[in-house]
Amino acid sequence: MSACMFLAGCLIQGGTDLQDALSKVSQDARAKVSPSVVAILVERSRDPEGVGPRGGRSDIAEFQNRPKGPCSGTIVSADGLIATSAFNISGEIKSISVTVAGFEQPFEAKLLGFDKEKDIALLKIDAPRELPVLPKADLAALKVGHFAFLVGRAPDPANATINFGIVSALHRFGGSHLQYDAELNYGNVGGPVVDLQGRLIGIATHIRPKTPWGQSGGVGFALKMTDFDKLLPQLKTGGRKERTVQRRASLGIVMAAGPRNMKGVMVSDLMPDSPAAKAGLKVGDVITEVESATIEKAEDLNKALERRKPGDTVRVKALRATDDGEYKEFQATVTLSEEEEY
Amino acid sequence: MVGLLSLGLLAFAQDEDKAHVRVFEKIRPSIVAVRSEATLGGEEISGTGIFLDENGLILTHYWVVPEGAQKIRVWTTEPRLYEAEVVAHSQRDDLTLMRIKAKGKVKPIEWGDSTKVKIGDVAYTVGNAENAMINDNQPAFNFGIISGLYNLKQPRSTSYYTGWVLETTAAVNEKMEGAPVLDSRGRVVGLVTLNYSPHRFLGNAIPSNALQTRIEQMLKDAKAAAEAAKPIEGAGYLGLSVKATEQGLVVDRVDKDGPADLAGIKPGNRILVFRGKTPANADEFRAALADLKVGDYVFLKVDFGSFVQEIKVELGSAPEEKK
Amino acid sequence: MTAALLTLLVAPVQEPDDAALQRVLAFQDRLQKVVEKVRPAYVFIGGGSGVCISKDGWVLTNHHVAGPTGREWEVRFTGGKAYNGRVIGHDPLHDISLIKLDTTDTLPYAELGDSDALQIGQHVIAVGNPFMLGTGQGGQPTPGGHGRTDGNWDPTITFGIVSALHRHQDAYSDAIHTDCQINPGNSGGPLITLEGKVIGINGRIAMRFHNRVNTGIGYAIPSNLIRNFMDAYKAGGRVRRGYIDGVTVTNCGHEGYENSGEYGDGVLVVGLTEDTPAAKAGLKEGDIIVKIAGHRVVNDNRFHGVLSTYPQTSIVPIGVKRKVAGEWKEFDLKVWLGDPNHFKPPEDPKRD
Repeated sequence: MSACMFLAGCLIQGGTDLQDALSKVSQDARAKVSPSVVAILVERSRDPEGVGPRGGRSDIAEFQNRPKGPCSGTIVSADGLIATSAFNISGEIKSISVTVAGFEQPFEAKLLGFDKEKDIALLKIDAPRELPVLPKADLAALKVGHFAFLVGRAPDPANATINFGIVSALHRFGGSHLQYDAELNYGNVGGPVVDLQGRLIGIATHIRPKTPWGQSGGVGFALKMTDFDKLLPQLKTGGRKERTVQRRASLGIVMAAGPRNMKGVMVSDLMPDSPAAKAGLKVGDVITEVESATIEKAEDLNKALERRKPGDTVRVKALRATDDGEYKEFQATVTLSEEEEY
Repeated sequence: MVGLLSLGLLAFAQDEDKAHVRVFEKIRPSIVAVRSEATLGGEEISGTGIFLDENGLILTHYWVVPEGAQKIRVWTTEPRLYEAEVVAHSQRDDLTLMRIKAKGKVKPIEWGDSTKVKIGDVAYTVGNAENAMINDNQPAFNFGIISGLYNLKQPRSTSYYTGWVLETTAAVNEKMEGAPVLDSRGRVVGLVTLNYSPHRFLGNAIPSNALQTRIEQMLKDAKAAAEAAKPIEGAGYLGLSVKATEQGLVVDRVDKDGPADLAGIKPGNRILVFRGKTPANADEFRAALADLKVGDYVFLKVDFGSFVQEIKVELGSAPEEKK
Repeated sequence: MTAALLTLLVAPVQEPDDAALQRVLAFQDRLQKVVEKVRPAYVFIGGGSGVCISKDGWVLTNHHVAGPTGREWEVRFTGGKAYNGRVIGHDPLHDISLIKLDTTDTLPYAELGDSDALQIGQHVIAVGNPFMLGTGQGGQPTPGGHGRTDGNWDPTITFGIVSALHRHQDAYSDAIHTDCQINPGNSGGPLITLEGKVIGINGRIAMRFHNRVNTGIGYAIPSNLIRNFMDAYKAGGRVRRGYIDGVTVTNCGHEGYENSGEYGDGVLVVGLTEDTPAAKAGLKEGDIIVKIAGHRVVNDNRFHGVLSTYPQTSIVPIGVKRKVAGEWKEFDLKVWLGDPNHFKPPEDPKRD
């Protein structure tokens, strides 16, 4: 009898409680975490130049769409060290001011150091009292499928935002970053990524500008705290690591390995206004020749492009599959654009 | 005993899988898809709506059924197809009220309390995403949380609403204009508006308490409500000056914190189209502004340097010093 | 006893602070275990994804990833173990290619589940390779794809719910619509329930502003449709989807058709050609078709959608309403779905 009651209890509990439980956990996480999240206002005289992610212009280009207003940062020491995304402080900076919860006036911040390859930057403010720092999560216990929250302070510094998702992958970019599907955007990049209990996993970064993100596509990255700690000494002492960027001529496609029984490079993805798309190439086409150079694998295509400049016109031969399994050869004339390689 | 416990836990787990299913089943009868033909060119606009009472009163987004809309059709989830009549518009609030003559009673939505909503609360959106209801009789149902609360001061896209919005991570897609945002119990805490934050790019909703007040006013006196929603008197102010160059009309100066500045226009940007025309010089540009008032909207196509975009700006009132 | 009752009734309303966290931690644990269970069955193929559905190496993916019968691919499992595979059967409209791996190894796999048992609101996860993040060069961010293949072979997992079912858009006639984030690179990968069963193959997303990035809508081909076609895929070559030859239908309540009921009742037979599978099944002009194989038909979009989930030469029951002597009667007919130009129709599909 009591077993039946217990069962009944379980069934009653099962229904709406998951939503209520999740609501409560999210609210609690936000309450715990947001005191350590700051709003950063950057005044700049110039944004860095950027080209569209895949040589296209209608792509959400990295800097052109940076909205006015604050962005987010994370307090990482009680005496006022603040971590944020290097993206947030890029360009020609005139001043940086930081709004901290519980303080009426914003603080002038000094940029100490940054590492653009990891997309992290360190600021310092002089706080009159100890600032709240988040406890760190045990990264060794973190697994793919675990929940993660992302907290930010934009567009309204007074009302922290929170995004929710799962850890999608644990080792990206050599292992320094992890990936999640909580929405990453201009408002929360630089803020903390935390677990269900509000413990710090990493700092939200925009490390892969070629992953379209302004629309919150569900692919976000964070620099793990373990890796942040490794970088901290050099960031503190003014280390400034730029991204080694090479600009090169581009077709504007994403390449992938093609079928085994075919030589050539497959077009796996391309933006609608990329040079390749404008020339009529489509996803699934297999490129076999660029001018007179035979293309059998990716290195061949890279070599062919290395020799050229943005604006050059090249004749491309490619194969396109019909529904019945035949490949038909066709030609296209592509005007190369520019792409960043790093 | 252990067997029963395991069964209990299994039922518990499976019940967990259905946690959201219950919310969907509750809201399903109260959601509709809406389609109208705009007077200009007969273009079809589709969106979403909700039943407010059991006699077929529907709330939808103004953009889906604007003033002058023709052939307004509503798809219920039975499914049934009805023609609707407009009861009231409120352009400034992004709202339209309309009515169908339903066969029998319909199930209205249950209102939640937007003042009790907390950032972090589980939330859902449901509606005619990509014509899921009109084509497939399937309201698209999405899960997320209330992720933010802020004041949108600029109108964006085809929205006219400015003010406090709830933000949600639950998906908001095309043709979900007018869709409700639901709390964890399936009660309506907001209505999706087309306005958005360029920081966040997430779905925004007009809070339900604001909606309920507005709906009451709209119903009380449709005519008086339309008058109240008209723009304020005063000459419209854009806050920029232009000059003619070889490259066309170029922005010469932008007044700090004026409407053009807030819209992101900078000196050096080119004005390609203004109110549907291409002004050749500063005089023609000013003349095109002359008949506009505070609160009116203008459409401009601007070359921002690295990309071209059509934007909408709400005209403000000129600051005192300028007069 | 009464106290226990009261406690149980009160308990869901007043939870101790910690209980909410424990509840979500338990759910998180469950989710994480499903992820661990299914990840090994995921495969990287070319510019997209796939999933192994049997221990002897049958792999499902999209046709726009692997292409038609005969195409050979290097297929890599999570972690990087590579096998050679060949497309055995393909379906360009439903966007499915079936690959057989060439190996005697026992492979990790995930079972196909029952997509008709899905409920809207149910949790699902997607496994894929958005933006080629798992096939980039280890240690460096992948630039705009230069085809490097020494990646870390770690797929991406995303989490969401079933948003809608039976969506008929273009060639996808019966798609699962999910808000799980799916992006270019996820194509061909599995959509999985919290029981670890594959109920869909992700193939398409809705896009806005010409940006090829997820906006909250993903479409997957349902497992039951794939099962319907599995024998045809294995037999090789191109498969053909079902339809009823010889009948023209329109929505009930359509202008110009009196007494055709109302929109939502079904579809009205407005045209019928002699000596066709439709006529041989016993359909008549004026009939209202309300069901196909147990699925309710509310409009012509759904009518064509259901039929497309069956391969040609299937025989399916259809529910019909007909006015007989002034009264509406409901009964079932059996229809052969095939193009008589391609296949020989049976003598006379059995009529109930």
